[in-house]
Amino acid sequence: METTVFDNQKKQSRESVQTVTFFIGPELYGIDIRNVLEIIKHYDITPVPNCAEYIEGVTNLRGRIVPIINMKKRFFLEDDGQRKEGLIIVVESSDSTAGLIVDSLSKVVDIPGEMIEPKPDIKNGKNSRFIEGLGNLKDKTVIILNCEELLRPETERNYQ
Amino acid sequence: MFDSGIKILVVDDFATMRKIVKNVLQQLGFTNIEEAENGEEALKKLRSDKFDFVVSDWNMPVKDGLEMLKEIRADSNLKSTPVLMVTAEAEKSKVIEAIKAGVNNYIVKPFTAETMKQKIEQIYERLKN
Amino acid sequence: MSSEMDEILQDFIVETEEILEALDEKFVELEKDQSNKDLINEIFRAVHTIKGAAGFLGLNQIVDLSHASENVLKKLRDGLLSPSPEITDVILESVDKLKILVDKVKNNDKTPEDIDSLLTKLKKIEEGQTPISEPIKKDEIKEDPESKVESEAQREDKKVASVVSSNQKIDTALKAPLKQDTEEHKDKPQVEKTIRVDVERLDTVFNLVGELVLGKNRLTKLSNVLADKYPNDPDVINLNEAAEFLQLISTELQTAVMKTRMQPVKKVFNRFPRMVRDLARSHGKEIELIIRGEETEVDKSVIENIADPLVHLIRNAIDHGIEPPEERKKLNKPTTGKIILSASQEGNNIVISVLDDGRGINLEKVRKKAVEKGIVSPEEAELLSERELTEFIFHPGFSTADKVTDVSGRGVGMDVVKTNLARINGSIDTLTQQGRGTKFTIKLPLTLAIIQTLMVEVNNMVYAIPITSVLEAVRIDNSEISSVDGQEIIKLRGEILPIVRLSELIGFNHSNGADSHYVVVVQSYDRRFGIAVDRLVGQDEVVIKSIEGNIINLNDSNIFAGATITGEGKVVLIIDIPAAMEFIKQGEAQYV
Repeated sequence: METTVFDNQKKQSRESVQTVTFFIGPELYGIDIRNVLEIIKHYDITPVPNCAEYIEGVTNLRGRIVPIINMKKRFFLEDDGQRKEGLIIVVESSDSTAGLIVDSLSKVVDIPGEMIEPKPDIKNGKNSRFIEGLGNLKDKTVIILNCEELLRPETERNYQ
Repeated sequence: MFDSGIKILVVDDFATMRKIVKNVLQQLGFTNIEEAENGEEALKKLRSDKFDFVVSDWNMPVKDGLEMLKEIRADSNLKSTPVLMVTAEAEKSKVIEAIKAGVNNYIVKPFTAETMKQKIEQIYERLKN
Repeated sequence: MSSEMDEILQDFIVETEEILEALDEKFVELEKDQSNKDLINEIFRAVHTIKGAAGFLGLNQIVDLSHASENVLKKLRDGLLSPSPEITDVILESVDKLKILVDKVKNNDKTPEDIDSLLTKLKKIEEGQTPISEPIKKDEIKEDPESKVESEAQREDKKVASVVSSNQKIDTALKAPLKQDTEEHKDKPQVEKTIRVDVERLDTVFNLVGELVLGKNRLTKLSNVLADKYPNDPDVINLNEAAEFLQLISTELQTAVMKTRMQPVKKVFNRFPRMVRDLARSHGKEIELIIRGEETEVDKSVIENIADPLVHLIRNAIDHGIEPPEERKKLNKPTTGKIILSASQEGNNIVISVLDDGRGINLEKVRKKAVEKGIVSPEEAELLSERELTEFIFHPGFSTADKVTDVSGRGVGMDVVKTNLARINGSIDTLTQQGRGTKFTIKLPLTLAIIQTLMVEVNNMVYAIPITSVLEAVRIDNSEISSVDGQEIIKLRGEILPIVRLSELIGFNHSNGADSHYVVVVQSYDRRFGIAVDRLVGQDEVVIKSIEGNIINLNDSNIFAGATITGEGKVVLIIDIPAAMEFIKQGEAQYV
């Protein structure tokens, strides 16, 4: 398991990464397309009371019950409840699947390996653990997210 | 050398051991491998299907390796099937017994693929002479 | 490590764990029948097997320890050592240590475990004990841990060669042509009857069947709607028939798939002989454990959930039930107490009972304690029947043990047993007779994966209540709800029933202010309470599903027992009744 993850990372630094990009607030974020299962538009969320604030609820994805994460709340941002498109990107980590609510979808871009720089070393950044690296496009910077961390509950991290 | 297409029966009550032995044999290029859980099951298989080689554990429930070996040597159809016995060091004194019963060679756990290869080659060389 | 080796290692862990678990039982049998050579041989073989495979995997500590135990076992088997409880203890300790070592491998924990003192003990036993007969002198090769196996093997080879040359029989065997007659064989090679399947794969099949059932339900509903609309349309009649057929097949398929997940309760029972033996020894009691019906099969999910309650009941029986030998003698009872653990299937349930022939529950003591704890008034206490008194042992914080021991009385009591069983839709029944013994009977559904539920609605959201907890549902008017000390209650046929509003349970603000409600009367433990909801939706059979990943943990919610997907494809959360009851705890004494 560990070695596979490692291999992936190594590959990323050499090869270009197909990245699904999207907006949360004004920022452009990206997720490696290999972690993206699908994008859903019509969904029916069942709220789950008494769990983390950033959990919007669960939905039925062809027979699987998948948690839906409100990305704004996940990033400790103000959520005005407005959804431009209200799309859900369903992503997969090594042991989990979840839907991420994003404001709007941008495009799939090919970021060359050499254009990806490691994440800035901000030790105290609350969201630093979610960031895999920064992808420099011609006109914009894409914050590339780490799915493993996004889908990992807070308590477990504290424990580690 | 030996023909890697030969059909081998691996006898051991411990599934993990069967896998290990199989794995070792596969490393040596053997692909036609079947498994049996004990001497009884092995004899059934040997009698219903043709095997070229048997690699067997010693200690097994129902029917142990030695009993199986004796029955193989007593069976006119099977008596010439080479049998390689897998033993632990503690059982060495028993090896004599196995040799008397007609074992072709034996191999001590844990072994490498290289040792296994040597053992099989030894058996086939002796068979040639 | 290559993936193949990794897979082999996984297999080794699973298989070794099974072997070690089965060993516990063997040891207990051995103590009863110390001269049983077959038994010793079986144990020897098990340890030997583990050693062999561990050697390949480079698990040196496992090799060393199994090797040392094997030596002792071999001497026992060959009669060079006579069995004694002391030897058995050390071997048991070794088996326990092996379990720890295997656990470490499983958790990829590479830190070495301290096995030296144990190795010394084994060595001492191997050398020091007085052999019953003269040790047979064999040309045994001295065990030298430093020596290379390879070179030893080669040395042995020479021996093989020399014996071979002096053995006529082997000569013929060796010279025989390899290629035998290639006659057609009548019988096909035998296929193995059982295969090991990854639980995840089974779960996938199980989930898919669940989906199929949901799809079938939708189809059935639709075809019924059509049948109402066009009762005489031949196509609709055909559709109805097809739906019915699908219903039949999917039910059968569900049963068949269920069966693949069934495991004998032996998996849980296995640990008890050892546990009873150890506890009895440490308590100076003589106890015989009799196990019946260990082949009874139940769903994997049930197996995982019955272990803890059973451990508790059996510990209780040893600690509080069975008297010490002297006391039993005085009572004209056999000095050895009996615990009978039995399992059987009754319809869609499994019934497991734990019976002991000990002192039984002292109901007068229970009566006194109930008054002391303020659970009932002295007057009420006098009126309580034996059955009602027995139920008090499941009351939280109720323990009749005078002193706390390390066996039971650790703060977790019978109430936890009952709650845990209720969580998996099980019940427990008690029968006790002072001086004669106690019998606990647990009844559980064969599977926890499919349950009947009552669907209810509150604030336009649907929730499911397990039907096993539901007694009835009544419609009430808002004006019928009154409040006593902050606890809402209703009067139902003259009886006071505390209620909790589902909207409050799930953290919504006070209900939508509807004038009328439905109250679902549920039972948990021996207490009844009502759950107020806006609307009843209907009854539905649902497949309990887990939520992907671990970002949501329903256990943290304290309200939900699980989730499911309805025929319409909506996710519905299932209410955990014992948890819901926590919300009316404050007023319980008054309303019981």
